[in-house]
Amino acid sequence: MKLLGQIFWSFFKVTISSFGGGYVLIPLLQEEIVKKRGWISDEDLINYYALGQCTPGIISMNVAMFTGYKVKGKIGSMVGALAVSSPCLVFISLVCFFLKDYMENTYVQHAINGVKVFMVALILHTIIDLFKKSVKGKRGLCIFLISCLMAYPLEIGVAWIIISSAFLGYVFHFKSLVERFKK
Amino acid sequence: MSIYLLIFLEFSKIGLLAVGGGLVTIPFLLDISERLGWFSAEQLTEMIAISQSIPGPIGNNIAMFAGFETAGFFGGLSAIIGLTVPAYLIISFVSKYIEKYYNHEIVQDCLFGMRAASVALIFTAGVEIAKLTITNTTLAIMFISSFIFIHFVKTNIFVYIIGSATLGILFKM
Repeated sequence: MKLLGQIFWSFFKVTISSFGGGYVLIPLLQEEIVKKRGWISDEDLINYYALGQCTPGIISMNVAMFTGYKVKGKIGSMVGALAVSSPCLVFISLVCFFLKDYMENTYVQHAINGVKVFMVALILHTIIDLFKKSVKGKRGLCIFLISCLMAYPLEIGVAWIIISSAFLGYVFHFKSLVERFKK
Repeated sequence: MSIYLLIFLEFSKIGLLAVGGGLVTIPFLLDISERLGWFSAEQLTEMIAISQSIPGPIGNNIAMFAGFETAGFFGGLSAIIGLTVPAYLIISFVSKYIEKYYNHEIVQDCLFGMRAASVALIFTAGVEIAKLTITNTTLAIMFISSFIFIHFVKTNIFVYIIGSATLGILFKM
């Protein structure tokens, strides 16, 4: 029960302090779930992001459910989803009832823009860290570059990029095994 | 049929078909507005704009908003539940097998490739977000100084959020 409470509180806290969608959650989750709680490793987090992008639904919800599952099975997964979705029930209700005009207030917009720029800087900081941890060796770099190419100039769907990279990961390893076998 | 059940069914369809995150749900929502007329396209645009200025995942915010505009708070709740249920079932299924076969060599190789791709996607998304967010010199200076601060000074994230909000107001960002 205590563990479920911790799962809820961690994801709730991360959700209310993120501005700008799923990718912004990565640095916050890394800080809270990986470093502070130690429930999953950096590698797990990136695995979940990869899987969360090729399973249907909202990416950060999926990541929360994967993490919850790892920590406490199906109930943990449900608590993770509840924690990520409950802030928006509150915030949107507030906006719809009271704040719709207030949101267009210039001071509020200035404050939000300031936070958003900070969030972009935070993402850049995290990408550097993740790149060091998750993109390993020539094979990793090769898959990284191919994926960038597929995502940006070619604009291929995210799920296809992840699925084809899984296949590449397998093929590259298979090739190196064959080479080793020949020697 | 009750409106809440209808909302639940429509959003669970989105939850099952929208692969790749929150913004992918927008074409589905546009389809709802055209087909069922629960909200107008203009309302949808407003929802997307406001959802991006509220904490939390954008996809959740938009779904809650759309449900709320259709049938009040419980409409929003039905939308969120509808959006989550398919993902929940699929993830429970996938997690079970991943845990079982995690140490299998093929699974490890596939995950190795997926991690590299995932970082690449975070990188390209980051560039995309940066292009949309950093639109003038003040913002660029703020961006660079934030980056230097985060990289070298470790503090609580809330300190940074309040600090950057204050700077945003002071410098009219």
